[in-house]
Amino acid sequence: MTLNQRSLSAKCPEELDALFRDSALGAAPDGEGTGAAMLCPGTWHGRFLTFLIRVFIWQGKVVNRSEGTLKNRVSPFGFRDIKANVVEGPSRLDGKPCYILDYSKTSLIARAVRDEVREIAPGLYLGLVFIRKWRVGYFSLRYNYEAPPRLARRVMAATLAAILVITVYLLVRINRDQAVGYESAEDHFKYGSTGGERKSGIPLAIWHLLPKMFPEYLPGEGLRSLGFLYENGKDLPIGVSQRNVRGIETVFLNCAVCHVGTVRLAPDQPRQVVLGMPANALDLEKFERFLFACATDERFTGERIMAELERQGIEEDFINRLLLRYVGVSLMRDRLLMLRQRFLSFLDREPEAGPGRVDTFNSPKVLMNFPMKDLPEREWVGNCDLTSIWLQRPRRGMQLHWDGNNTRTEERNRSAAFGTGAFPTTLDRDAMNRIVAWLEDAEPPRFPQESPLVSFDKALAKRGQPLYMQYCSRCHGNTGRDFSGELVGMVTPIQEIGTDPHRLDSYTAILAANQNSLYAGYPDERFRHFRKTFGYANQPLDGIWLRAPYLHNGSVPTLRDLMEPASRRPESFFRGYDVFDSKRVGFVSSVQREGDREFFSFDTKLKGNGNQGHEGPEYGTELSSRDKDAIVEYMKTF
Amino acid sequence: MKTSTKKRLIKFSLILGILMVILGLVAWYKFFREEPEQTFDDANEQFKYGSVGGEADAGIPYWIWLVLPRIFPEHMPRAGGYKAFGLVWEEGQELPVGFTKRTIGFPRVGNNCALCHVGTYRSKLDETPTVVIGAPGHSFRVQEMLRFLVAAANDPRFTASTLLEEIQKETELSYLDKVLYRFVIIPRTKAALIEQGKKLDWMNDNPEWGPGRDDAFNLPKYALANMTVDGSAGACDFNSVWNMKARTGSNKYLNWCGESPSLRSVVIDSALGVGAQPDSEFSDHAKRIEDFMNNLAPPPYPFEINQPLATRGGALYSEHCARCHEPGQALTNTVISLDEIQTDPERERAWSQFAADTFNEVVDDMGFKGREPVIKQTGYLSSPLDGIWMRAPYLHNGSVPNLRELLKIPENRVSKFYRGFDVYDSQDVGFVCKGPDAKREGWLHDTKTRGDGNQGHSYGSELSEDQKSALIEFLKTL
Repeated sequence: MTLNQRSLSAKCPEELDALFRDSALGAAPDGEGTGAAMLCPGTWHGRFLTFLIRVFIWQGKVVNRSEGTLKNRVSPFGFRDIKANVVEGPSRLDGKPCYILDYSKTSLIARAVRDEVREIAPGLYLGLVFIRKWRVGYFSLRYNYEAPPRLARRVMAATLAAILVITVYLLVRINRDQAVGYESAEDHFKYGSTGGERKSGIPLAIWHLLPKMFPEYLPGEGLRSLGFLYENGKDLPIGVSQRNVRGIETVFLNCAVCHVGTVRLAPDQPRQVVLGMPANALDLEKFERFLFACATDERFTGERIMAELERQGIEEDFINRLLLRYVGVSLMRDRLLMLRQRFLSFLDREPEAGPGRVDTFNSPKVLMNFPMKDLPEREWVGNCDLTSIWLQRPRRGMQLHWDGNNTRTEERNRSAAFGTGAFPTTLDRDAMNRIVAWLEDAEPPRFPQESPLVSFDKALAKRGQPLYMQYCSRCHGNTGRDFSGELVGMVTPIQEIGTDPHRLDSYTAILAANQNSLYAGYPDERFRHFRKTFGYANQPLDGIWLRAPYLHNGSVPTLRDLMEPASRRPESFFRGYDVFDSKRVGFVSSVQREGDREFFSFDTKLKGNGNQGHEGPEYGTELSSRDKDAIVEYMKTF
Repeated sequence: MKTSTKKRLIKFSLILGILMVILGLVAWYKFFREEPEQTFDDANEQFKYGSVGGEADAGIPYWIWLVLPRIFPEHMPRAGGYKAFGLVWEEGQELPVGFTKRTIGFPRVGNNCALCHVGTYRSKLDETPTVVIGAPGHSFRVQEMLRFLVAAANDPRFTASTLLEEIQKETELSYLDKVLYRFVIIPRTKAALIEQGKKLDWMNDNPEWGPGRDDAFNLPKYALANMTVDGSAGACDFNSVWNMKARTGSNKYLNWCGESPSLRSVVIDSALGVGAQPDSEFSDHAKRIEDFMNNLAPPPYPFEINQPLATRGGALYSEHCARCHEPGQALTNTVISLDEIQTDPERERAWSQFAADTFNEVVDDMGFKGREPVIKQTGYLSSPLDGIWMRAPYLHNGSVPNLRELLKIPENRVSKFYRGFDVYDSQDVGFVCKGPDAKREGWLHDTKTRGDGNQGHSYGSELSEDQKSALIEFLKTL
């Protein structure tokens, strides 16, 4: 067997001693030698130790034969340090000559060390290490470089290179955070990301799979049946944004999901998509319940989801398939189950929201994990209409939200962003700013006065103007663009306005206090303006024709109904249909179903759904029928 | 030693030294660097949110403090984060009144005097509460808050992973900070809170404190002086801290049983409770707080007063109350013996000369300057009645909800009522103490509970109903 450093390290101490004894002094070492420390020779862990010492502590010795000195190559960087004198002398092992490496006069750290070396094969030295009088180990030193076989070298180099490339690739991939971007402000509003996918995202593949795998939890065909709007050629609906997070394409909701609606002038007319309009057909609560139902289904496991993905031909790359199968799906299920437990704690004890509505302010309570069972019953019902979000610039400083609980559009926006899954640490501020900038001056479409499909009486509208100015303008502004009026954007006390108090009561001083800590990690953005109010805010009426049904809880289907006292308003009606009733101004509310879509029967007798209030002589509900018609006609010009 | 060896040794130690200095600097920066405390131009704001120097010792890391209610709702007595403990939380403020935020290495939350000495009232349920500085924090449930923190710390879910996940929803931590939170700050906080909890074990054998009260003299006995638990139950109302100049001077005493001979003593002993240290800063804090409280005016009664009726009541006050309660009178600010006053004796029993001696020794050893030792007196202090309308419920243990009840003979006083609700009852002068709203937001005070008795102080019960109304009307003006 040839002697080399590898074969030496396989020998046990007795064999090494014998080898040392049998060897002559040999030629003195000179130059840079590669070392291998052998503290526990002959064992597998000894080899590993040798490797560790080579990498981190000691790489070899550099001998200067003419001077009779050497230096060691130490530390991970191979510094030349720790000097020794090299002399010939008798070995402590057998008294015969050997080279003695004497540190006692040259090194402070290693002064107690004495090495003895003999050349056991050409260019290969075996050394014994003594500290004081004790033997502590062996080392070898080689001067003749032994090239490993070429193939092995190539394989090794290729493997190393491959590992490096894969590592870099995985690092890049795992740190990916790339939202799908959009050129135009409108597309960005409809499909751009607010950052919600970063922590709350749903893998795109699973998003596409769920309606196919769990159709029984949907009222009809696909997410369309929940009121999601699909534009031509898009496979994601409006209000759903996409971002590559850690290498996985994920999706989540954005602002547009609740703030893009549709209108048709007649059942056979094309559907007009209106940005910034309340999502009149979207049933957000049903969508939440759909996700929760999927998560509780026994089929929601990594294995079955992946099998179903394959069956449906939904593609994902290999790494993501692994990630989803073994981590992603169960993480998503856990997260959904957590959200389910929190959200159902309040959703289950209030009437169904139905399309176009949401319980806005019980959500932050569960996001801050209030023990909801302890909440007083007075706060339980918080359903209210989704709102229009046009013309934010002239709204600055007004009391925003239905109860006017905040006067800052920036805070209101960040608060709403929680609904898109964006937390302080995940909010995409640039994307958000783009949306905000666009909303500053975004305008609602005009009422299509010229269209033959709508009823509009110009003369009547003209007659309505002074009446509107007398009865409405103080609280609601002069026109749909001129928001001046001494009480516009201010709160009317609940005793005065008399509308359903549940939404107001669902927002509490305790919640406001807790909201003060939101965004505390970003002092400029921290919430400072949430206030408990005791009434509902008077809103400007821009695009009011598209904001039906009316009042904060959407309990009155048309403007003309709103002009009537509560006793003469419809007790129940259908919501979610987008065909416009241009005579009464609102959506047709008598249609129960269209195709496979069944509309929501809204019962004003349920908690939070009351259609009372905003009535009496000051509100014009006691005017003549003709005067009421005139006021409604005038509001068509907004 | 050869010169080259020496040189190398020097080189080596130099590198080692620099490394250690860098490490030390990082440690100092991350754990001990004191950013200047936030000060407020307005004295009221300073009182509500200014530091008294307790954050270094008793401060909870801000981010941990922030997320605890979100992680441990099951340990919360009711919904609503820290606000659920009845704290006063002004609109738009990051922290409740009585809380301070200060960076000592990392941001920490501490407390100050305002925690227990700022209260609110409302004229009706649906109204934004009015904050009254210096009033007893009558709705603040300090015991529940302490219990919550201890329960959270003892929960197996109080782990670095759980906390960091929640914290990182609110703020981005650097890698170094994450490591420090994970391996130092979070474990240390948990251990410290558990340790605090052990020092509070005795509470659990005693009756509840409820809102607006603490066991003011058992706390220092056990938590600071490590005295043997003796079973006494000394829960008593937080005091008002306005107009202190009318309460101090020779032969005038402070605290319910006249334990403290000077305002400085009260300030020091109370500041100890929020972790203040006897450093150079402290005497500035103490001086500022004393000046503030000496000159703080009691809040004027905010509702209507029937002046003619009040004038008639004034005469009755002079005749029946002034001797003990009018500043300048012989018995005002002195201790009235138990035999005479006959109010619930438990609070008085919780303190002894031995306790006073032990406690004085402990505080002196800590190095606080200018403190007159606390003493033991037998009886209850007769205090001036300034701002008395905002000091309900009445008697030292808050066992009588309003002034009208207080003027009844003790046997006829209400035996169970709710306290901690801040809607005002201007009819009877006190806070609304019955009805569904008081029940929901308040805490049931049962006068049959040990220490919570409503006996004694039967002065004025012999007056006619008309006279009582007149007297109450007059008391509103104080």
